[in-house]
Amino acid sequence: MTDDHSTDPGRNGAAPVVLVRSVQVAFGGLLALRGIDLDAAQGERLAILGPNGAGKTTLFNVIAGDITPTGGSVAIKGVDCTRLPSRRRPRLGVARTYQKARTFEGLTVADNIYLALAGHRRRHRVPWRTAADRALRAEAEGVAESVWLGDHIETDAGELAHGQKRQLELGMAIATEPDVLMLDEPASGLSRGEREHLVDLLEALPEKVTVLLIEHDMEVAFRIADRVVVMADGETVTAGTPEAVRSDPRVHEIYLGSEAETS
Amino acid sequence: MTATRRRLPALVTAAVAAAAVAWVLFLAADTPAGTALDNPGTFMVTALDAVTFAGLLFVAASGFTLIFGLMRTVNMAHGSLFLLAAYVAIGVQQAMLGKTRNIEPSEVSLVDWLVPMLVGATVAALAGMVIQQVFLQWNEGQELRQALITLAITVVLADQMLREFGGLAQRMVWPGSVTHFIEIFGQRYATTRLFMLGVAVVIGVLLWLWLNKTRLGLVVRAGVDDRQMVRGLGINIRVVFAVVFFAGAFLAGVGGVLGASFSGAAPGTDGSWLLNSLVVVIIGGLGSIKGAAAGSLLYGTVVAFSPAYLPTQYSYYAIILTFGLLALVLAVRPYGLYGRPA
Repeated sequence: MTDDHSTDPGRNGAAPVVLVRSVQVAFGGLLALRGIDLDAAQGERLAILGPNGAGKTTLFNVIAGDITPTGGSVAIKGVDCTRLPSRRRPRLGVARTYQKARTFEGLTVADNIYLALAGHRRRHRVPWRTAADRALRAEAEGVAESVWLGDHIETDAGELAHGQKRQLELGMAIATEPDVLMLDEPASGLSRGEREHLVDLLEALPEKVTVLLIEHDMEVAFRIADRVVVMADGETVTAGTPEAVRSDPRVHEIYLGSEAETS
Repeated sequence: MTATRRRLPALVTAAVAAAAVAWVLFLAADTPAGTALDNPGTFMVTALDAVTFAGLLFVAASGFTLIFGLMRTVNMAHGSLFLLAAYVAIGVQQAMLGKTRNIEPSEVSLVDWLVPMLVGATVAALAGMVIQQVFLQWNEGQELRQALITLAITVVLADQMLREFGGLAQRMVWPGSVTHFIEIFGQRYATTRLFMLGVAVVIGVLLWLWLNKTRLGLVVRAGVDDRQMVRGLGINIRVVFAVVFFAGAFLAGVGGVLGASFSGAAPGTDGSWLLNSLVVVIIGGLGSIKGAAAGSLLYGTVVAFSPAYLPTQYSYYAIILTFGLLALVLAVRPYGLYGRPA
């Protein structure tokens, strides 16, 4: 992990994988995003912090294509996709999880991941089973093991513990071999042990994957991130290494409060 | 105190069920059927009536619940598709046999029944798919609007079918090879009803295989859980919607042909089978195939038993028990037996 790319966008001089330029989003009269810029280089681990209502999830929705911005532009891997519908973004290599864990509750763990794989490989249209299907199924089980759900392959997702659902969600996102992985509060609602588990998992992600992470849990965010962006009221307040952000007085003021002082 | 109150509906239901069983077994002496202990034959026949009718209910309702489960579309035209398939199948059967009246089962081979059935159901399936593609697809997520559109289609189709097929009741003729009578506890029983149950079981098994053993079925089940996420995985769910609407309408059609063979087809059959399907899926839980099976059995049981086991002078009130069943089930499980909140 290097710390010297703190504020300059596009590490290693390469074109950023995610490039957000002066994005604005208005919900009626409310400006949720007031001209946000964001860059993430390949393999970068970027945490987005900020109080509730700062616009973090809105920014995620814009990047994932769930919301079309009122102004500004979004490019992924150099392709302008400001107006590209969300169902086409997986093909650009974007995968996301949601604030509330979203899995197919009625399906087993293996089926959940299998479906993510099949959708990604565009094989879902073949309704019968083929030899490739068996390979795909084995692959799904491999992914399940990589998110430590190897013992729960045949468990229905609805019966998993909350932390395991998060693991499954992550597995489904990983299965699509994303270049950009967007995680919206992956640690929310997890117990302390589950959090440790999650951090280990995230640290084990392939190095080339760019991770954008919204997280309220400072400990998790600072441990994973190379770079931290702090947002408030739809604007970027500051950006930098975890250390720099931790000691930034503006950040104390708006967000960290006593939590940072004790750490 | 509050615990007792919360459990009250379940307790009442258990008490009602126990009372019903006790009534049928020991107390129903003053009814058309008599107590089950005195008259085991009548009891067996009534039970068979319940299960076989449940088979027909299941075929009709499974398509309805399949469509609702995936698309959240309450397809009010389900009964119309049921009747349309029935009329088409009757027409095809008459054309195959070359006569329109006084057809005896002995003249009807299995093929003379199966081919009209498949033609009728396919016509219904195609009509259903046209309805979905032309009217419903661009109203996705607008549940009330979709219900109203399909209701309007029902009215139009009912008029057009009256013009085309006339107002007299018509009947599909069972194949001769399944039209026999067997002895059950000294009572004659029509094997056509058992054949109907057999068809329903085959359809249930095929549905189960499709939903649980194929990739498309997996996508359908995933869509029932979370349509948006299926789309997020890069899967074109619109194609899946079209296929499921086709399948659901096809099932309505098979139900219609079974129904036309069982009790005939006439104007009004569409409305009563929409109602039957609705009752079954409300009991079983909207969107659940398992629920459709359970709901069919419960509803079939009440429909078969209540006229036979109500005291003779109250037989007319049998229909009320259906609503009693609905009220009881919904009091214990507001989303139906296997239903989940949307």
